[in-house]
Amino acid sequence: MTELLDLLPEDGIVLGAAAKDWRELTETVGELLVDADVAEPSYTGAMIRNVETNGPYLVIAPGLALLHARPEEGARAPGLVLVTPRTPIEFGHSTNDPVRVALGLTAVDATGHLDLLGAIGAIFTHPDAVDRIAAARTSGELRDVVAHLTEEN
Amino acid sequence: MNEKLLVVCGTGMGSSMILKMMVDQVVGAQKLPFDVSSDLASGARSSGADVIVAGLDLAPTLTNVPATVIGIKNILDKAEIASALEEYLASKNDGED
Repeated sequence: MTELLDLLPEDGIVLGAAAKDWRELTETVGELLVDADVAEPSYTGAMIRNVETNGPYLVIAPGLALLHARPEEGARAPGLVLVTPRTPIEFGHSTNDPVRVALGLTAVDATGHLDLLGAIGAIFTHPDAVDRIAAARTSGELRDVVAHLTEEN
Repeated sequence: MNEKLLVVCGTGMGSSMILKMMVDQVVGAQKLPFDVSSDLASGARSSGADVIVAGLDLAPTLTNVPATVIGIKNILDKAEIASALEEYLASKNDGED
């Protein structure tokens, strides 16, 4: 199975982002996806609308948000980025707030991103993955944490 | 005969697929009697599924669905998924002749 570290582009990681609410956090994630050439700028608005329409179900585990929209809303290629906000962000989820790690995901069809999802699942099934990743201050620290979590599988 | 289990989310390609992977792993490891598929939440009503599994905050939006709806708080927590599925199976067996 492909490793999370291989799937995150070097520029696709922002730690300690200065977002003051969930919209700003989603905008930061969206910018990274655009910079990584996996999404059009329109995808950011689509991710925000997904939360507005469907609610904060995207906070899929305590502290972890999986921000995404549908492929036809501006995805260009399967992609993954990771943002940790400087202060934890409320999305309004009944049990899993506040968010300390936000993943951004793009897919263009039903299956091309399954590797990404598998890698996400394998890392974040560890109960302390969010804590350890949220505490990383540098990209090097993050990579160490993810490498350790991967070994623990 | 296997229960039809449908995993749903708002977009049909993000959390529902992760949840489906986790459900597949739990069903496979414990040999639970489910056939598992995934779809958009809007496909739930007409799916013919016996049980629908979704993230906890999406579950209340699945109204008028002729199936048992199970909300999962942490879709990456296999223990939570396993115990929710086992509880469902136990309650079905109670109702059987």
